[in-house]
Amino acid sequence: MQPDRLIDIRGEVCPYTYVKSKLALEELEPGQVLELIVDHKPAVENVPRSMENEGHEVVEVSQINKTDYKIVVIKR
Amino acid sequence: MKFGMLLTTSPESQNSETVINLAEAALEAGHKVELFLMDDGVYNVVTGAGISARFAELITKGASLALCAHTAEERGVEKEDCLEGVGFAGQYELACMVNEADRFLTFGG
Repeated sequence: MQPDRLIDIRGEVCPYTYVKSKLALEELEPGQVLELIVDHKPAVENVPRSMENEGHEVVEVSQINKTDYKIVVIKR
Repeated sequence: MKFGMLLTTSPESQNSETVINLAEAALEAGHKVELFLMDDGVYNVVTGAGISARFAELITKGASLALCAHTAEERGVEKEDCLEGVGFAGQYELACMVNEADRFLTFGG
């Protein structure tokens, strides 16, 4: 799935992982896709959970290498 | 009424007893209780900590317990070290708790 916006927030920790994700999503239209790259382990669970709680659709959470994870969210 | 409580001090602090006693009283009075543990507060729910059994009782009585996953990670506290039923959460969940609580109490150092 090709993202409409990709943000690399490696190096960020809570709460900035959530804050920057939310700000990026606010700039998208419903139906558009946001891809996040994180390396903060708690964010791998916390960011998707908060996105779903806000009504968005998390379509992928995957580990892409030893330290980094990809989260793909569709804005609803 | 929904009570939210934040505890950021370690188990030997009087705050732990205060939080537990307040939470127990609130639950017995029929209120909802949500606790969030952060910073050294995460140590209160490490299995084997002297006071952790009383926090386990709170869960049994219906309190919701969550802790800050980031501060737990920084202290080397993993999920398997903690009481069953404690959620690993973040500042987003804390913000929701504050927003949804009728009363929110903080206990820190």
